[in-house]
Amino acid sequence: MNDDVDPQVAQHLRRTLTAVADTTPRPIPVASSTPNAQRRGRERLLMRAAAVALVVGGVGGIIAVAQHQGAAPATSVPPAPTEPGPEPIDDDPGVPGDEQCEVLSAEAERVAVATDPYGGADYEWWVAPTTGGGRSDTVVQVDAEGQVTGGLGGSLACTPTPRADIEWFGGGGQSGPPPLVSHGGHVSVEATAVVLTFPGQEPVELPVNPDGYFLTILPERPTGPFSAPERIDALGRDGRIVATTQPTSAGGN
Amino acid sequence: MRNEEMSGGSGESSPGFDAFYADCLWGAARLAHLLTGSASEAQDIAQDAMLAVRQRWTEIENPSAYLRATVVNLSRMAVRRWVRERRYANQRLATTVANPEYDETWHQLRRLPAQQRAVVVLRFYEDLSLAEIAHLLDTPMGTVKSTLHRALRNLKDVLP
Repeated sequence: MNDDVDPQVAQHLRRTLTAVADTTPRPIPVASSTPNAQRRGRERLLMRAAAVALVVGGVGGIIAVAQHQGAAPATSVPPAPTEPGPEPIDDDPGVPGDEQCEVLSAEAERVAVATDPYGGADYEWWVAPTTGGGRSDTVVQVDAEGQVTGGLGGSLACTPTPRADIEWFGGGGQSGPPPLVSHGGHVSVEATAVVLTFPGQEPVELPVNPDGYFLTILPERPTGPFSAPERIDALGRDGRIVATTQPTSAGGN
Repeated sequence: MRNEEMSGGSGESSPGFDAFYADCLWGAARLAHLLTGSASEAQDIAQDAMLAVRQRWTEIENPSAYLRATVVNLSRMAVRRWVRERRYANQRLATTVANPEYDETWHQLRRLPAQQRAVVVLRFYEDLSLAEIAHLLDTPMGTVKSTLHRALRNLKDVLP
């Protein structure tokens, strides 16, 4: 034990750590003879579950996807700067008919960056193709030294999924104070900005990257935890609305 | 994993791995959660650590200590992997604690460098001595002590 530590400090830290540990979900016991096989099976199920459009969320956060289908062609996008990407999620090749796939990590691209409005970590959105022609999306938290310290989740679609004109996700659960929520998405029509309209709040206008991605970190709206914008407008170069969607919450942890 | 979580009433003299597994799995996940900041990653770390224990079940004298050491090592590897890969994989790191006072402290704890966070967790959650932490992390005790002091200095804004 360390006698130099103030007992009050030690007690506070013990209580904090215990409170956090108490939030840890109880692992699902598996047959002790095959824990690894069971774990791999669980991963496969998780990957299947993730193979739906764009899904990002934190603990306790809602996961929401809004899509607005339209006929406009997708914008041709220049590739974003690339850095060495991650290893494949799983080395299990799967079985015929299995939706499992590998993430082509060497082709991962960082498509958007946002900063904690309170001067904290940056958030980076990475996208990588999969062996099945789909897409892996991940939002990670990066500290001042460039180290990944966490994430706001991600998704995996093993097979190609058509892009909607506007795709949006909201991820919550960042500890505060106040709690932070990520809002990000992709605009397939030619647009330079999106406007997020929240119930009873001032609209928030965000720039859209040349490749169609947008991302920001905002304080949680008082209208509810991880509240979704009631409307998202994509603006063209002339400031006119070129696409609109009204997000609906879908999914969960 | 603190003793009461590790033993779950059956103690380390548990006759078989299955009982140990049932008693200690959650404790392993709790420790991994604190070390990595990721509740979801903690699930896999706990299962993998249990697999390691099972593989050496007949050889190890103190399964609880072996499990703890394995969880610490796997957690450190996970953090290093995130840094190297600059990514994630469905981590859900952002645990919000019900008590706002603790929530703020956890928010700052998560921002500590991994080694500082590990020392704080092992010291105040696991109640290990500095010598035990030094042994577990394979680090000189003086380094553990200075790391702890740096961590507490970084946390001073949220400490009483």
